Amino acid sequence: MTKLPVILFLTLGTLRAFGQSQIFLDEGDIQLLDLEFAPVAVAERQLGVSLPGVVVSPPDASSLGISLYPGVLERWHAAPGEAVEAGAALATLRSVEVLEVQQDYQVANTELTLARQQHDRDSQLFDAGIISRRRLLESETTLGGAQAALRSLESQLMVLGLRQSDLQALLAGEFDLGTFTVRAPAAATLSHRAYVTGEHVPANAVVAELNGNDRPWLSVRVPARLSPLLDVGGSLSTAASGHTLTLRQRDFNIDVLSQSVEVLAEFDGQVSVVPGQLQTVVLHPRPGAMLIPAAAVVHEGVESLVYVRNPNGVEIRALSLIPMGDAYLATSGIRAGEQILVKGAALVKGIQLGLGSDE
Amino acid sequence: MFTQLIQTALSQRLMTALLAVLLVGFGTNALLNLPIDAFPDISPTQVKIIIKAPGMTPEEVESLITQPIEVELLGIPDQAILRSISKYALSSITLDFDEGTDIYWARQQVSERIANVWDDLPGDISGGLAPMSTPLGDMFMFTVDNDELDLEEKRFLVDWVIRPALRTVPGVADVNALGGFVKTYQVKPRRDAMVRLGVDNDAIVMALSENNRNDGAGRLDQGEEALLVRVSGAIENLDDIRNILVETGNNIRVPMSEVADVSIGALERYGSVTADAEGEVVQALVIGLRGANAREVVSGVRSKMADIEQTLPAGTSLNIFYDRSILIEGAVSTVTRALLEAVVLVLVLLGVFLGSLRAALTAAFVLPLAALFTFLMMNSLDMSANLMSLGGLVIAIGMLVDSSIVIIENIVSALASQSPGKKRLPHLHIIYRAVKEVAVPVVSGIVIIIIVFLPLLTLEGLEGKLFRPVTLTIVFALLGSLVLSLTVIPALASYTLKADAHREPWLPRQLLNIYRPVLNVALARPLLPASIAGGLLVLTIVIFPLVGKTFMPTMDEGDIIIQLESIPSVNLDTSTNIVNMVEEAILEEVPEVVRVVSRTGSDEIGMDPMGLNETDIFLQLKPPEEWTVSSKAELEERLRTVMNRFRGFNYGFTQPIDMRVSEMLTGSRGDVAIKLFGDDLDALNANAQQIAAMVAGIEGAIDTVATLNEGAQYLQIELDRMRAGQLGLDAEALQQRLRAEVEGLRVGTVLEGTARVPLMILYDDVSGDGEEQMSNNFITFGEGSVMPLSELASINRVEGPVSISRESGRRFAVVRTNVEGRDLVGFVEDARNTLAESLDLPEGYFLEWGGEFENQQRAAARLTLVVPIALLLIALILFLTFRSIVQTLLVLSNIPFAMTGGLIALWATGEFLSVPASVGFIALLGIAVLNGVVLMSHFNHLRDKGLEITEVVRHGAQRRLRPVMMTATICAFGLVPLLLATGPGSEIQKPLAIVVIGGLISSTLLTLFLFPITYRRFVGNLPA
Amino acid sequence: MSTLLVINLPPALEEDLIDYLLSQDLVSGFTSYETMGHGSHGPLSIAEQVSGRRKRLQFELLLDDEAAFESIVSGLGSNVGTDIRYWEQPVRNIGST
Repeated sequence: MTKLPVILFLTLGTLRAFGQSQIFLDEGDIQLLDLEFAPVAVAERQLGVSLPGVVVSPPDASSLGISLYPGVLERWHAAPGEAVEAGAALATLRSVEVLEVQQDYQVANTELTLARQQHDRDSQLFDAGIISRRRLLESETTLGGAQAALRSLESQLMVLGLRQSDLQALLAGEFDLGTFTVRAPAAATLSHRAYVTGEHVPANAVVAELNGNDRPWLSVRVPARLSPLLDVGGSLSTAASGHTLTLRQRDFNIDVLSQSVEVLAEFDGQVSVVPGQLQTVVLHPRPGAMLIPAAAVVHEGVESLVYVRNPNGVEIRALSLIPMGDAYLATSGIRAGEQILVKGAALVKGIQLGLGSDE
Repeated sequence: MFTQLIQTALSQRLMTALLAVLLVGFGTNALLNLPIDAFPDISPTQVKIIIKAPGMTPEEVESLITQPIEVELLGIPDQAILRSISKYALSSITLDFDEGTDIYWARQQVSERIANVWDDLPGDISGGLAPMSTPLGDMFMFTVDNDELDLEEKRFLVDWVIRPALRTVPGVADVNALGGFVKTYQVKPRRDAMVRLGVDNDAIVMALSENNRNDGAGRLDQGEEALLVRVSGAIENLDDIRNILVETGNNIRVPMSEVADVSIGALERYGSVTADAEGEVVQALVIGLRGANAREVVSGVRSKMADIEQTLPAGTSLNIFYDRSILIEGAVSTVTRALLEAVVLVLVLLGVFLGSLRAALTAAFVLPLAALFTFLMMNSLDMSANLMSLGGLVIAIGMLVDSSIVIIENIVSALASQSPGKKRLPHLHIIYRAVKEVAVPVVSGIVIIIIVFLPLLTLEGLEGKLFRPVTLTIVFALLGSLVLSLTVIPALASYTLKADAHREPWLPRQLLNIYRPVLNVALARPLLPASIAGGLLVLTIVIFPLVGKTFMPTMDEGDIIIQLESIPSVNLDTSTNIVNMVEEAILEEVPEVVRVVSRTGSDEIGMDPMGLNETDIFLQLKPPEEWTVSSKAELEERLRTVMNRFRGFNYGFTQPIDMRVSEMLTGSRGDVAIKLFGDDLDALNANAQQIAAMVAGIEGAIDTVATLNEGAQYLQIELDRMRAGQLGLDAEALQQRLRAEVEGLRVGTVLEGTARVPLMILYDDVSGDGEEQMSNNFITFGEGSVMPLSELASINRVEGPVSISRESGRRFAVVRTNVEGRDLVGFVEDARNTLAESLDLPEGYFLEWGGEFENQQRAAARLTLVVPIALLLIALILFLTFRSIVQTLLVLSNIPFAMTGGLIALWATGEFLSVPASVGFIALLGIAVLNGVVLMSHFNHLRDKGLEITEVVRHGAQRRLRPVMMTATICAFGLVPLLLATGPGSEIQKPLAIVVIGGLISSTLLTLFLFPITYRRFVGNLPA
Repeated sequence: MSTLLVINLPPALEEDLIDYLLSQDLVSGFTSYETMGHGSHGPLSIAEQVSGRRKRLQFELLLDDEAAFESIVSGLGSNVGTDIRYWEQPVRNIGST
């Protein structure tokens, strides 16, 4: 006799557990349980995370001034933002290794002179028949070697930025030994000085970056926990001036010191910033993402649920959420303006699970 | 044999008087020294083990801690039940021993076993045997309020000022502190600093633990004196901590302040206390020792509290909201009042029947003497005066005077029948004769009653513990009254009663005038009363199945507890808010509630390990006189209406002692507990929910609930051992580091005066999405290298059980329900049938029915066994007395007729057949037989004198009318106060009173009208 | 002339007889003793049938005159009971110390 109601009860109960997407609540319930709803809004652009960033030249810079030898940077000849011609001097460095090369050059020059003198004398003597042809050949060889040595050193020095005039000054003893100059490989704007005066520069270091007319980039260090917000192609903006940037590159290695990743973004338009300038940049949620406060979210199994208000009560909706700071972002499944439960979610989950009386 | 006793008592009256005086002296002394409590000690010999395992999930706790210990404990002899519950961070194992096992021996056995297995348990657990208390040990609770202090300071007060002071009170096992925040010295390492300086977690831990010591270095001799050297290195304040040096990766040391922020913090909370919808408060709970006298303990605590109240900061008040001694007072005063009322009634009736105040007083004199004798015996057996033992005394009042009534009545008759003018027999001789005449029937009658009660001593379990005191006090009182009636009372009567022939008093005369004609009619038409009697018997047989059967009426303790249960994954703050909401609603809508104090979660010791989603709401009620509702049941209805409006959490009603007793006996609360045994947690859960749904549909079911044992949210971190091993990181170090991250790691203690404040390492507060946070959590290695946790372990959010319960080594889930409006046994029958039809359990899964119901079954089984034995013993005694089978059977035939009245009375009043009612039936057996015995022996005597049989019964019955009426009415009226009592504890005695009074009515009537007929019919013509 | 009145009766009636005799003015004292009865007078219980005897009490009273005898035995039936036998024996001498 009691079987039928029991079966019905069970059926309803099972249905309720599985097919449930609606919880019935009336005004009385809402009042009594102290439930609060709030409309869902797009996570506003201002609602982003602010981070400090540094303006940098584009990573694939068109030209670089590189110092082949290690040395100490003595002085700069151009300032950032200054246009230089090809071959213009950018910086002068002093280096022990360069000093040796220059000295070698001087020695090689002296040796060449000696070898030439020897050759001239020997040639006269051969013509006079005093010495053999073999001896003439020897001095010709010596002369050739000396010339080659000199030429080699010459080219090294030229790569080091010495000009003909410098070489002649060097031979004349009027050159400042041990210094060499880094010159601009092409006409461009000096965008970035990598070292300051007095700083030690290692071999093969980029001393200066030069820019064509490319747009500047911004380097930001983003705390690794925010990295899900970073999609290549995503957008950022500067806090002060509101310029927008597009995220171009992100580093997947995490820097040990700051526990952050480096992100490079390119300015979308021409901006008058110079490399090295500091800018506060705002990291935005994706466009159209909705901001969901943490108190509105309950978890069941692997699902995240929110309770969306409808005329009969609330609808249980599963969303896929991205954590952002103390809240979450939802990119789909919910529209702006829909009301979600922001206070009392634990109680509504209890109703969902069947705790308490049903009314 | 008795004649000798009577003779001696009468001839040596002075010595008798002396003995009586001695009895009064010792008895009064015993009374004054008697410990007083509400309930007898009903706890079984039980040892509880509580182990805290911070951060471990229930499944881990079960497999790593609970199971190994259970296996170890299985070898202990004399054990009854092994139960355990594994919760988050807690394992609680309870071992019940057989009755009568010595508690100290039991504790020692358990202690030894645990020591054996301790090293095999995971590293950083703490705990052991719980304090030696009983579940009834929660005797006193109060909140500590002060507007100027915050929760942490109040908690500090309780932990370090109030608790130590109260623990010195004799009888206090411990003082439990709940609520508020526990102060800690907190060291929060900064990750970037750690990385930069190459400091890892272990370095910080070591620095803190090794730099916190005061030590003695020895002694130096200075001339003739000595100088004790003390190295003071203990931390005394925050700056001391900041200055501790920490080893860095570069082998230099830096002060702690470079690596961490040092401040005052608080321990991770496992519970909170709120009150009166005003937010959180701090509570203290006094736990009494096993066997302590509750009233003494409470008064000791109160006076100690008064002492320390002056030393507490200004504005502090200690507000008591539960005091066990009030219940005790109430229960004891209920019984005492009933006792006094009974005595007065008895006196009045005696006077009316005997027509002489002197005679009445003489007979009544047996009451105080027998009572004092009882107290003396109680004291020598170390029994306490409580609801049950004093209740036994009240029950016995009517029966106590029986023997002395019969004797005094006979004395008075004998003295009255001395015809004036004729030669007088010596006064003492008359008395002696009168006593001797009724001695044998009186003795056998009382012995029969005593024997009838003895089987009650064999009851087991809860009912045994409750009714043993009742039985013992009744037996003592009866023994005492018997001896006194044969000695002191006659001696006293010889002084107070004079031989004066006066007319029979008014009442007996009137009764006789009514009785005589009716008796004649009955003797003339014997079939008439016989058929009436037969009809009543048939009625009884018909009614019997209609009377509900239950275990024990619930005692109204005067306080109500509402238990809440929300979703298993709720956090403490939300739970606290929900409770606040409920408190507000209750205070607003139910004016009878004076104060509400709620406890959510667990306490520090772990004695009552509730989850964060479980709450006990204590309602302190106004005195019943001030209520607007008329009964407790109505009040509960009102509360239920309020609670039913809420949705999203489960609730149930209980009472303080009731809750603990059920928990203690069956491991769960509720009238009926259905235990489902099985292996798989999910299957157990699903089936339990099904069972709950089915049971809730049965008539009478109320507050049916299967605890939702799933849905607790866990973040499962599984270490990739290879990877971690490659990096030189072991699981334990990682675990320590993670614990330090989330909950805080205790690395030492700072002494603030007598207070011991924990020193903790705690990393940043993990906020936002937990899974995210953990994935990006950075673990530092020795040389300053860092790696996020997600590279070392897989991190997943899973749902899991809230707790895992086991009994006798098997997992189980439990469905609890209370029953209202019908009897327990009938309900269980229905439930059994429903489940048998509709429930389909997997193989290997089975049900066990427990709770109150289990008790009822056991009690019923025992009584069914024991009562026939009692009847056999009675038959034996009767045979020894009368030496005739026919006569024995005749007296025994009184019994069914006595039962008739009792059962009809039970049915008519709507009460159930419970253990007290059964005790009432047993008492009825004895009383019915007593009257039959007295009547029978008089008939026999008259027959011996040679009277004709009809005359024998006619004269005999008329002569014995007065004593029969006296014993019956006095016994009945002696129980009327119990029938009408309303204080706490009265519910338990009421069914007994109903049964006995009803039974007396029917048995007396039948004795007076049916017995003469049957005697005439069956005995009359036999040879003498 | 003095006579000895012997009364033989069942033990159950002992107290009644004593009371009765004590209440008689003409009786100053008497003795009693247990004794056994044999023969087929009156009904026997099972135990008595087995042993062939039944317990009795015998009382002896010294009487002075016939009036005492009459007054005593006439009231025996109504005041004491049934199954009582009695006889009178002559007494030759009486004395005391």
